[in-house]
Amino acid sequence: MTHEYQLEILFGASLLYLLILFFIAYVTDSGLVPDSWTSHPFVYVLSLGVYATSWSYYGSVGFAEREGYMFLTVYLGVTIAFLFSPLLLRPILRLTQEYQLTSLADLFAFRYRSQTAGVLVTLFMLVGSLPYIALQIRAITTSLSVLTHEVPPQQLALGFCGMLILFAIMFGARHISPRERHRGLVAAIAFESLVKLTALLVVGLFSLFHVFSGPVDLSNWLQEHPEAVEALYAPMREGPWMTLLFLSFCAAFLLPRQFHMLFGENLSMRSMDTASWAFPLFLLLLNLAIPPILWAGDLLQLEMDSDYYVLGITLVNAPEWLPVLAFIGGFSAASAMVIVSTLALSSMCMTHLLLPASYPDPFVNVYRWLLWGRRFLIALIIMAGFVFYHLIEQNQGLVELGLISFVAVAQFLPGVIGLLYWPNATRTGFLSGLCGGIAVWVYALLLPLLERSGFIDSGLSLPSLHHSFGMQQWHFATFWSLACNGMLFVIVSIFSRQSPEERESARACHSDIANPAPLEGVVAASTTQQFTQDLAEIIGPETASQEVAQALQDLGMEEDEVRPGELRRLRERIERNLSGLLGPQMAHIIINRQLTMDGEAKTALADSIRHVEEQLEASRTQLRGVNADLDNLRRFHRQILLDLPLGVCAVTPDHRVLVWNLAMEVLSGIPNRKVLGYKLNALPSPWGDLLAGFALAQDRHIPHMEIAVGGRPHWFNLHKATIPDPDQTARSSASRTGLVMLLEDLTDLETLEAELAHSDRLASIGRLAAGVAHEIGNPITGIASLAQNMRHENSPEILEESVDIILQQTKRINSIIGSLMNFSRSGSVGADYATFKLRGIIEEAIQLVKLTRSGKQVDYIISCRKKLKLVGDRQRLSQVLVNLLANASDASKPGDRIEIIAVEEGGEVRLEVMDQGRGIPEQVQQEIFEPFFTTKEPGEGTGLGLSMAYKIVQEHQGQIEIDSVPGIGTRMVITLPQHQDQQNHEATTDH
Amino acid sequence: MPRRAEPGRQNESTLLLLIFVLFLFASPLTSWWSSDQHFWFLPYLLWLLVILIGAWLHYRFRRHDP
Repeated sequence: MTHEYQLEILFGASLLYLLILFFIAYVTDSGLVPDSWTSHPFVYVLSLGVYATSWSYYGSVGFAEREGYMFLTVYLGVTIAFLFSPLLLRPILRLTQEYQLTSLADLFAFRYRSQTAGVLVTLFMLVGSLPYIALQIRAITTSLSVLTHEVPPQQLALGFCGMLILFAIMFGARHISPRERHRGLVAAIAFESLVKLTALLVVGLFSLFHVFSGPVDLSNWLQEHPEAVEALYAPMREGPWMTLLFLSFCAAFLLPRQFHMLFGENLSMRSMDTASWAFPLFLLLLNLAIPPILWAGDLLQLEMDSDYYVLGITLVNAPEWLPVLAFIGGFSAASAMVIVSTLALSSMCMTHLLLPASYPDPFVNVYRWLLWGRRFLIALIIMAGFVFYHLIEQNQGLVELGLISFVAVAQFLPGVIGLLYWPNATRTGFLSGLCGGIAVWVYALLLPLLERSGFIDSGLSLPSLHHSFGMQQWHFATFWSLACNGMLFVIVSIFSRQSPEERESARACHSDIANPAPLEGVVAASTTQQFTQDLAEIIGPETASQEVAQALQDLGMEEDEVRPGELRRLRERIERNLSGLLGPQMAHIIINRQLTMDGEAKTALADSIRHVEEQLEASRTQLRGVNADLDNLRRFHRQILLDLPLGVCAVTPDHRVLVWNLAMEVLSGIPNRKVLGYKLNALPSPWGDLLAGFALAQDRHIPHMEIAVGGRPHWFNLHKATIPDPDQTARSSASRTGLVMLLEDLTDLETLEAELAHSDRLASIGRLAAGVAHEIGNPITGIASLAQNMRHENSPEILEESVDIILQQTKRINSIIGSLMNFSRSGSVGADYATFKLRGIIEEAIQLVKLTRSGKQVDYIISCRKKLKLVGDRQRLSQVLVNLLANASDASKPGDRIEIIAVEEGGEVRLEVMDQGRGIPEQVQQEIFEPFFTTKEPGEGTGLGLSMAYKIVQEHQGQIEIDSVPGIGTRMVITLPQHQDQQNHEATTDH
Repeated sequence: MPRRAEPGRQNESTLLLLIFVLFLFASPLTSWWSSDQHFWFLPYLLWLLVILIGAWLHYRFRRHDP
């Protein structure tokens, strides 16, 4: 019993099927299906099933009948390519993702920096694909003829083409931006793959269990017909097995539809890794049913072309739905191929043929123009496929048509190998090789096909050159076209030179990491608004504004960005984004013309170092061998710099911040993201002025600089060193050097020292305590006696005299207490710099020292002009004098003299304290300024006095020296600077 | 447990697998195993073997990319 179907029913079933596909695409695009489903690696794997077209679906059985297991080569080659993906597909995916390259023509145009390469690849791809598209149309019409037992009219084929045009536009050219991934398309193609796999497996199972009566019956049949198995194996040993393996290896990723799904619609590297084994498994399952279907056809002795056994066996004693399912499976395979191939080809034609030939007016919306252009091209390509279908010989086998396309795309393999693994390959070499390969392909395959179809009559005896037919023809064409292609590519590349741009692209293609090249130069446009204005002149204001906004968003930049390094990155990002829209070469030309580089501005390696570092960080896992070791070393050194407990700020030659380490963040309270790339003088106060000033200063070290941070004083030692640019020559490096500045925070040390000074003063007060008690005790005793006498005294004169004496004694007590209070109060360092009379603090210090026992027994002689003034911290300088005088009196014998001499000398005040004491041995003189060093008995001195004196004098930018001769005496000399305004003031008051 | 990506080692394994596959399917060995005609599904079994090795390598060097 055989079934017969009406054309209208089958056409309607096809339309319904396409509508289901569109529904799947639509709900996926609308976000109604969870992302975790649509982005699952297995959806991606199934979408790659677009490789299996009607050639696989129908033609495999015919191929197996004619060439045995040779048909498996078409899938084994793909298996090899996918297993090889870490070294072949991954690098291409990295490039296409990083540089937004959507097709093979984009990839070649980018690597070889040639619009010609893009045009040539596109044209050849287009010509090479037409037979393949024609094959699909043939498969659909022939399958209809098998099911309906009548020759379908040409209008029906045209109707199918119209339907495919409509759905191709709906699937892939529905959105404004052609750059975005078509998740809906991927989901729909994955569904199509599932349908054709299911259909083929169902037909295979039908063959096994209904045509045969199960595996045992099949086994028995094979034993009875050993020639059936032999027919499968024999061609493997005799035919061009290796050639077909090689061709399918190339087709796995070079066919336009494969390239589009593999790289253009890929969402992650993980998906590709899964595909490396899962896609070959899909192909294995798809082909598992082929031998049983072939043998079932033989058993049934079907009188039809073995290419259509898949349909034929379902027409004999099968349920009514099975032929329709088998037909839908075949239609699914053909329509998926046509839709995806057309989308890929239309995109290539747009960027490499239409755009360079007729770039739209800036006032036209580029997105809309591109959208309608693509729609037009989709229609044109499918119709060209229909014309080709119409012209070719009707009995041309499906496999022959497919293999013509396979040999065509194999011509791109030398270029791809050069792109991935030969940095010195040149544009001229690539173009020469490709032209040579195309010439041989046209001569050996295309012309014979057209001649056999009666379309042309070349007059040449084409096959006579190789004297081969059948499968040998493919072997011949493949070998000679690739040999010619490869040899020309290598030889011309060796003898030609690369342009600088090409060299840069080659470097990007051969690097372990994405775009490692430092970005050199400064963009002339200095704001993002200027970017938009400049771009608007060519791509129109609306598109320019959207593209700049998109690039800013991609890079996480603000609209007010002005840093040259960041603007350079923005320029590069816009070029990449435009590359996805207009193709790499067109984008390159537009960017070079509109966003020009400032020829005057110079850059150093330091300017782009941040970009290089970011790229290295992003691509760490890709680095291997020495690169990985060097990267580890770099990270180690960088970590040292970042964790250094000193504030580190490195700047470029134009004083833009390059490094701002953790200590610097803590000191300043400014995170590094807010300063990196900015000029020093743009930093918040006080850091901007401080660092910018220091960067310009002649001094390489500034000690003890006081800065108010957050209203509180901080002290820093500043150091700087130049960083010569390694790229600059020794002669020119002087003008182009960066700087590294170190900030040593002394604030804690200063606070500690202030506490020590206070302790020292308290210790001094302790030592003075007995004297104080005595000094205060005497007047109080006097006052008490006078008060006692006043009770009995009536004479007003005596009473008045007593009151005067009491007041005098009280004044004396007040004076002593006042001196002590002044001396002992704790104050912060440097808080009170003021102008004061030097003599006043000398007298005060003497008064304090006199309170001690030793201080009383010596005479003090002051030689100091009354009006001599100093600027400084009065209390701390008083502490210095008390310490010096106390030491001098301790060292003196009763009745000795201590002289205090203060004179002005050349803008300085020289203060000497001389005693006639026992002196200090020379070996000890070196150590007396060290903290806790003392020559006194335990309990008599803290050892802090002179070290504090030394410290305080240093704070006042002065010096302290000792000149001592044992047995004769000691002279302490303090030199303090006298400020200019202070001198002027004194000059005025003296007159 | 899958290892962290080691590009160098993964590439080595990929090359070894490729040599094995070429040895199996693109060398005189192909003629040898194709001369045994007892099992029609032998090419499929060899193909499956290669896929399983590929899958094992994939899980061994599974990457942590997005």
